[in-house]
Amino acid sequence: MKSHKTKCWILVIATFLYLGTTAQAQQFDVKTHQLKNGMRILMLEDHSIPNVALYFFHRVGSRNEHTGITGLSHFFEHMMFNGAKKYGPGMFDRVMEDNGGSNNAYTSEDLTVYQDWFPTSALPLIFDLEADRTSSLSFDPKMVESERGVVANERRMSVENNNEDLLREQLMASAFTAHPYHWPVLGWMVDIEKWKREDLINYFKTYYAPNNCEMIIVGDIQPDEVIRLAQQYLEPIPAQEPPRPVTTQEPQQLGERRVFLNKFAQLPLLQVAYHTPAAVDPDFIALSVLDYILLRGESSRLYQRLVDKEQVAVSVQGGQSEHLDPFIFEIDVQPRSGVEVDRVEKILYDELDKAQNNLVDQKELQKAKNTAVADFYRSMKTISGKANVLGVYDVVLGDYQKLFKAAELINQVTREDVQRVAQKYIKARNRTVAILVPEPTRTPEK
Amino acid sequence: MKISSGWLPKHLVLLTLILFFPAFSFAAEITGKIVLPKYKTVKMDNGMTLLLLERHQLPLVSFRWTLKSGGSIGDPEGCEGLAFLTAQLVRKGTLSRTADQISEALDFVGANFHSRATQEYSWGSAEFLKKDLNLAVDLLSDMLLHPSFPPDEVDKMIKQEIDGIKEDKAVPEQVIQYYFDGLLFGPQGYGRPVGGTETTLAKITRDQIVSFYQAHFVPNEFILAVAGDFSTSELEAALKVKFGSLKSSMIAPLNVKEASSVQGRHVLVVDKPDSTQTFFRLGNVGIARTSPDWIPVHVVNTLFGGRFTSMINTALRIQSGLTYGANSFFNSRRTRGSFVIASYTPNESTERALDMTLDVLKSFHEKGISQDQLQSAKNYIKGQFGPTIETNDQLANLMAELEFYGLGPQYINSYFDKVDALTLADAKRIIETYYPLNNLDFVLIGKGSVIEPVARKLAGDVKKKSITDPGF
Repeated sequence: MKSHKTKCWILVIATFLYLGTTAQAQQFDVKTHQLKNGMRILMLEDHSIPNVALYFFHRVGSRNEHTGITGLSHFFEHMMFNGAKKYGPGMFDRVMEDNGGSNNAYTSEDLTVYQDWFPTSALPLIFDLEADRTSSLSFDPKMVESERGVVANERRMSVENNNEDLLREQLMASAFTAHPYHWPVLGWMVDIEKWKREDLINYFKTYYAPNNCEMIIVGDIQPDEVIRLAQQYLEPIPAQEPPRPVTTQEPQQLGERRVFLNKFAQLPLLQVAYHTPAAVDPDFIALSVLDYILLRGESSRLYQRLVDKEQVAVSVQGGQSEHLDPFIFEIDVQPRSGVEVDRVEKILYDELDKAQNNLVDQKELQKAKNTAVADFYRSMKTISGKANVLGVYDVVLGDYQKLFKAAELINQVTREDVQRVAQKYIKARNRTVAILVPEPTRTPEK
Repeated sequence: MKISSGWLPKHLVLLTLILFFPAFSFAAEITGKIVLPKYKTVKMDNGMTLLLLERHQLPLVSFRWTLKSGGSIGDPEGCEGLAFLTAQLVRKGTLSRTADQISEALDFVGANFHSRATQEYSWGSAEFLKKDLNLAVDLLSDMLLHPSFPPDEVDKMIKQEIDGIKEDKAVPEQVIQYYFDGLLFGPQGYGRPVGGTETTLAKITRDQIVSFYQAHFVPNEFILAVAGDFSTSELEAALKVKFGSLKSSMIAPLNVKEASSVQGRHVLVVDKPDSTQTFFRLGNVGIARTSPDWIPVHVVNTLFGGRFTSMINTALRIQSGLTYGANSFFNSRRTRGSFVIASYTPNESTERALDMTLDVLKSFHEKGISQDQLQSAKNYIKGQFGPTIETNDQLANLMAELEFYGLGPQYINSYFDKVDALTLADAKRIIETYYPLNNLDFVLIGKGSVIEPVARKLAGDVKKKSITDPGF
């Protein structure tokens, strides 16, 4: 089935970005530059196709929101396409597409990322478009209302009509009590309905300042030309006071939490989350290896046990993802019809216990590392992939050069490390369980 | 990517794609050309076709196989899902390896492997690191030539697929095209669901799968395309050794009678009582992939529903906020596939969104398109083409597609010329021919009590189903 690209997908950044081999990663000749207004630029030449991937990483996501404005980061992402001073409503997309370019954006808990893909020769035009919206975005009240409708529809589409996402909201809201990861990136519907125009204006000034943004450009470019264009178009945008840091830390969980969702469905769903550390924590790498062992490929432990051997599940997925603050290790199971969720849970925990009680087999550890290396290559197959990896490393992990050391760190992970992180994090008192309980909305007609 | 010594390719087979922009004013013309890198086509003695494209940018190799006789249109009546199961089961055990051993071997080297069926053919893809190329050839040939279809694996997969359909039905977007094809084409040809239904899957036996495999997996129906970091001569020799043993066998080609456009309007309402949105598709029988009009239709459809600023997305999303996305597309098949306009909207705006969709279609006929719009669509197609042939897997897929439809590399090499050649008069003819105004089939999935009255206004012929009814 063919699907149309629709703007702004909520993305949970995948784990694979974390891994690599030193030898190959060091081949990247990344050039950096800092504009006077604080915007940092990473540039990587790649002339394999006459195209460019230009990504802007803004350090703002649902993590920077508060009660009453949940979902505002994501809504803002939509507003960035709705007109500015030079290019009015609809012009950003129209002019870009007229000239062979396309664009998209995504919002996560931590970041809002804008992506432009275009033929090389459109470079000056794209800078003009980006500078216009970043310096002088318009907040036309009518446009705000129309876009509110779009975002409400996006929420209906991706959450209310998607049991998995609806359940996941409950999972996160239960796992996080103090930290803003408590609310969904899309925001609660009541907040979507009530944001004010002033909320948007304040948000723009604080979080879309050049000193809160990083530009990554990969493709058929000349770094000198990129710097010249950035100086011409982006440097005049004034810096602002840095945003207030997010200081809330989630208190330690002291016991298992369970949440249920009763909804029309043919099959139940099970989601399990364990609190795990932020991407910069040294334990994160060992947890990534555990992720591969448990969840990657049809020979992985959870697929083997739940789907293949005991046949209690249709699918199992999840894992670890890079975040600025401590996040979760997630396991989502689609139980088979006629299988009680209790039984799935028992088998799941039994399998997870094995990772705590026994050292992983040396060959299995090697398999996880090999898969990680292959995934590393895959993440670099396209200019877009490279732009994303560089951005995530530089912004979430603090330095793109960590990309070149990731393989070394991965290769240093031992069987003991894997067992230690399994014992430390994958335990009942650190667990939140969300279950969708199917209910018919009417008596079947027979 | 900057490549320093030590990782320097022996010979670069780069894609030539040069674009020139004279200016950035509105819809300035992008000129340029595109040339597919040369690849070797090998016809083996047993009729199997190899397509080999060396590229050394990354130490990866992508495989793509297409089995021309493996389409689900060849499923016996009442056994829908047979081709699909057969294709998926090749990795679940061979004469010399168990399913676990295959998964372990693939995962240990970080390879990936998928195999599926479509309506027209079975296909699969795999990606290996260069250093594992011998293993790749060994594993792929073993799975494709010697699958053993272990009874427990067959049983397991059938049960999983049946539950998979129930899972998919919780997300209307996952299943709506099956309902639409079913309504449009009826119980023949492209109207039959590739993955089967809850009831047809339950009836399929291992014997049928084995017979299907034996009859359809013949070398003269196989296309194997490979792109990536390998030596053509060495890989060709290795593939000939492994696949040469397969004996050719004549099989009746899978032909689907060309469907005629539907006349009048017909609606299928699928009740999903918990839905807060209505998911809808409308359209008719479209165009064959091999038609000389395919490229002109692609250009025109870019404007109607093929990009973010298309007419349909502008009306339904950008200007009215009725949806998160609306688009249109033509499904490619050897004979005429479906033409579809697709979107979704909250329950309460169902009627408005559908009326608006029909208005946009009407206005498309009445106002047509301008010279600037035509130029814009051409620029968009050319400017976005590079990233569609950037990776080994994309190129392997493209080679197999060109071979399957009998189009050949020249199709790509002359692609931009054909895009450029399109005139306003051509566009007018395309709109009149391929965008029906009155003869339309509709599928609406949502809360039945809300959408049924809307359906009755669209057409006299309204069929009803419940999402929990087996099938589509």
